[in-house]
Amino acid sequence: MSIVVDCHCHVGVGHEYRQTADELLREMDRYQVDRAVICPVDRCIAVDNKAGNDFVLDTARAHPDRFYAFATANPWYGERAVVELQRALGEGARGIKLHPALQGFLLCDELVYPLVELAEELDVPMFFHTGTPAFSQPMQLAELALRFPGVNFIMGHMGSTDFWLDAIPAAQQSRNIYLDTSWSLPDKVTRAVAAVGADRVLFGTDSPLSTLRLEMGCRRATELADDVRDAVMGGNVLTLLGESR
Amino acid sequence: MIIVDAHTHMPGQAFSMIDGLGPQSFLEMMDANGVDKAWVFTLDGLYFDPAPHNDRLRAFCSADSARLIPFCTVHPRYPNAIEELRRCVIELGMKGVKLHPWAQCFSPVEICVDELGEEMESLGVPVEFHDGTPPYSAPLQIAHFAMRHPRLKVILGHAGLHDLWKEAIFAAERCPNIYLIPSGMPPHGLRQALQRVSVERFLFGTDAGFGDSYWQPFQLEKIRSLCLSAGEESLILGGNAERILAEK
Repeated sequence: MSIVVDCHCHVGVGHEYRQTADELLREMDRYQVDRAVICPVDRCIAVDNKAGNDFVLDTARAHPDRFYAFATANPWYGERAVVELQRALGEGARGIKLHPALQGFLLCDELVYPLVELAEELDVPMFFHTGTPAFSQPMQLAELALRFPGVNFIMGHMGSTDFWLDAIPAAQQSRNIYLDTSWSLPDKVTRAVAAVGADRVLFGTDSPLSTLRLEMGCRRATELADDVRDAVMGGNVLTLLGESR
Repeated sequence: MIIVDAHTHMPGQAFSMIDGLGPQSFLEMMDANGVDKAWVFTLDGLYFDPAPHNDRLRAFCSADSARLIPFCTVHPRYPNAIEELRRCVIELGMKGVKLHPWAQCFSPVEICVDELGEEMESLGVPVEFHDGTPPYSAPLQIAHFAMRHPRLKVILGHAGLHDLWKEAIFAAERCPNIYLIPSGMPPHGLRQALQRVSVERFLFGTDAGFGDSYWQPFQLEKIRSLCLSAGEESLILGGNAERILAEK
């Protein structure tokens, strides 16, 4: 298999979970994951945005061949959220991670437009947690994606668990939606590939909420042609990040 | 060690993504995954008139009655719910009840389920709820029902799923008659749950038969990756489920 890139991990000390860079690297080495996108932890997604962004930026700088940092900002901070994301992206963050359920906003609310406009201006992807009612639903992501066709959106967890049925119909509405495989058993991933194309499905684990052991077990059990597997397991996210393979 | 999958569905038309899985194929799936017994629920009966689907489930499980253990369902709003429950348990010998408030359009806090709860208590059968999805299947809504029926063993079939696993822990702490199947709990939530709720109150369950054939290997791996003691793992994977049915 060619390069394996996990599109969705967290590092730092949060309220519900914690993970150090060394712990994640050990897991990556053990399960043959070459690189990973790292996002701040729950507490830092909700309120301490700058602390979380600094932590993932420092971690990515310490391991530039292994990690890509995604920054966050709570859109309720308004202009301050835009400024914080400009700072983090200017310092090396490669994308934006938002979690409407943790951050307390309707996924497609106008509140988030300034952050999406920044993503478009700087040409970085936006990762949205989905699956949690009432604020983080796949159809809400489709609404936002249709409104901003110039931005690439990653649908975290493909709507798992409550909105798994919505994930593919939502992604079919808007070509700029990509699907994260975390929490998805083999059948869901093969259906996603068949429905939206191999270039729009991205391997992710959501570590440490899930584990590389479980997620890699699911991906090994997923029947995909070799070229499709290479794209899903790493090629697609590298393309989104503008990285060479 | 006996492994009991305490949450499976007889494949059906509603929602099902497995076509043509008969009882022999179901047993072969269990064999392939080292699962000795399964508590089997209807799928179609959750969406349509339960009675004929309870009969079909009973026939499905008769392929190997030592390994396939049928749980009936009833619709709490149907006027014959109590009668159907008694028919399934007394005449058909079904061992428990499956309720799915989200699919069956009732809330566990409604008084319409109380007569059913009392009858299940009298019959001494456990009830397994779908849980984890608002608005009708949140763990603390089911805990409210469990508090109204303290002699009833109430099993949360997903332990809150991804969004409400922590609420499931609160529900289990509040109600000693609540048991957890951590099929929807993320691994880090399950580790926290095991620190707060006695290991005797966890069951292994997968939703097998409903969809992906990888459900059983995935959920087995989730339990085994906790690296518990052999005794604890044995209780979760089968001992607790066996005890619940024995303690009628």
